[in-house]
Amino acid sequence: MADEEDKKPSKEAGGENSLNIRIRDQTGEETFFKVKKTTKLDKVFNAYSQRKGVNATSLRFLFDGQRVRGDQTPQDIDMDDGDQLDCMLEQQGGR
Amino acid sequence: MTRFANCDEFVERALGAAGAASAAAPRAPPSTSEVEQFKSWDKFKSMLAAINPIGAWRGDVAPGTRPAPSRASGSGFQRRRARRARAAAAGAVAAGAPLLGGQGRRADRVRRRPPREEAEAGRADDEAAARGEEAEARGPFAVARTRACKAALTPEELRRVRDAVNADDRDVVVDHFNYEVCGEHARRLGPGEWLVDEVVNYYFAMLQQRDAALVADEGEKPSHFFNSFFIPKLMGTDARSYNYAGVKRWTKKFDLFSRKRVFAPVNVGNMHWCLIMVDFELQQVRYFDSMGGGGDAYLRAMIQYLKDEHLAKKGAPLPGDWQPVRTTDDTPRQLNGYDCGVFATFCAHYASLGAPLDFSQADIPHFRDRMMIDILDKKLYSAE
Repeated sequence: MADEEDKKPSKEAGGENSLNIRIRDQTGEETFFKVKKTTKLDKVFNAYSQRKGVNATSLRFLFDGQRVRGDQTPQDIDMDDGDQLDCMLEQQGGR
Repeated sequence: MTRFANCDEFVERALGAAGAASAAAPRAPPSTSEVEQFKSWDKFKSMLAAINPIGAWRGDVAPGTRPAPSRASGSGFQRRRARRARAAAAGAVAAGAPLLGGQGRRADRVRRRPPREEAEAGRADDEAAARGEEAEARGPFAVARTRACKAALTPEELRRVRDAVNADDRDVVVDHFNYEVCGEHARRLGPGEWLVDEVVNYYFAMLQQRDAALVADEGEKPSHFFNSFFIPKLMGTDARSYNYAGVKRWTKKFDLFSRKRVFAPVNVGNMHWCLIMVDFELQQVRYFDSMGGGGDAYLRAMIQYLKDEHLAKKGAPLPGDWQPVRTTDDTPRQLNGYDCGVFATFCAHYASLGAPLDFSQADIPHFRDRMMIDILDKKLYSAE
């Protein structure tokens, strides 16, 4: 899949520098994004929370169990094409 | 534990304790009418409470308040217990903290038992004591380390805690371990507030950091601390399903089975915090719930996870006979509707050192401050 994209680079995403990533929420629903390897994930997170209609501050994003921050890029966390981020909701508890 | 031949002897001894504790004078033998008066169990209970609210007659308090005669006739266990009580009292004083919780409460429970259950209770306590001593022998530093977290904060530290708790919602209080703790999260460490995942997971990251330091210094086997999203990924938000694939990649960078213990916070229904622990040495999965819940579903899922993980990563069935251990009686209990998050994190703190869980509700207000200051300092406080 990555090879195919190398052959026909898309103008917007910057060709081989781009990745298709998925965000999977707690119900299992997946949302797809095409991002540059060097784009800060903040952009993705904000777009995602807007689409979902939730406040971005109540969402937590994980990559293979590790917390991902908005100022990190797919490159920073070694994401490959087709990789998935988990989106979890804020948790609280007292009793 | 002293055994009494009959009720009369028991009452006589207790009256002796009354004399020794209150007057500290040479005790006069109790008159017959006095003995008669305390023959009923209810009266005896109220009398004991009046003499000594924390049960001096069991050797549960600092020396000096304890009647001499029972020591002379006391069993080896009783002497051992007194020694431990003295050591604990001395240690607590040294650490600048009052002697709290566990022992007083235990004595309280024991006092409510009628005499005929005493023998049985004595045996149970004997076993508990043996376990406690075993734990101390296993990790001579563990108890001292957990005591460090009971050390009082300086006025300057308390001021920083107050500032952080009162920060504006979106102000970043501390930014570390990939966690941005903001005012709205820090506020949850104030009195009476429910904890949020951000502070619990930050604290678990600090436990992981301390574990790494212990591994480097003392060659301990490392432990692993999952964050609070491990359980919902494995079991769904309602904890009714099971999906190994959801967490299969969580261990891609390390071998879970080379760890000593594995911890994960459990968020129950977005209302309650508990803790689950895998102990590879004892081949147990333990659940800690400050409300006393058993956690059967979580225990089952965790054992199934270990089986699936072993099969997937090692290509063979999980060896050994794994035992689920529900919340034990000596797991500290919350006495309100908001402190469970602090109980869960400090259960992890104590258990990760292999120390007995000797804290109680009375410690929690301080533990909230301690959590906040440790979060601000980006590492767990140690007196060393």
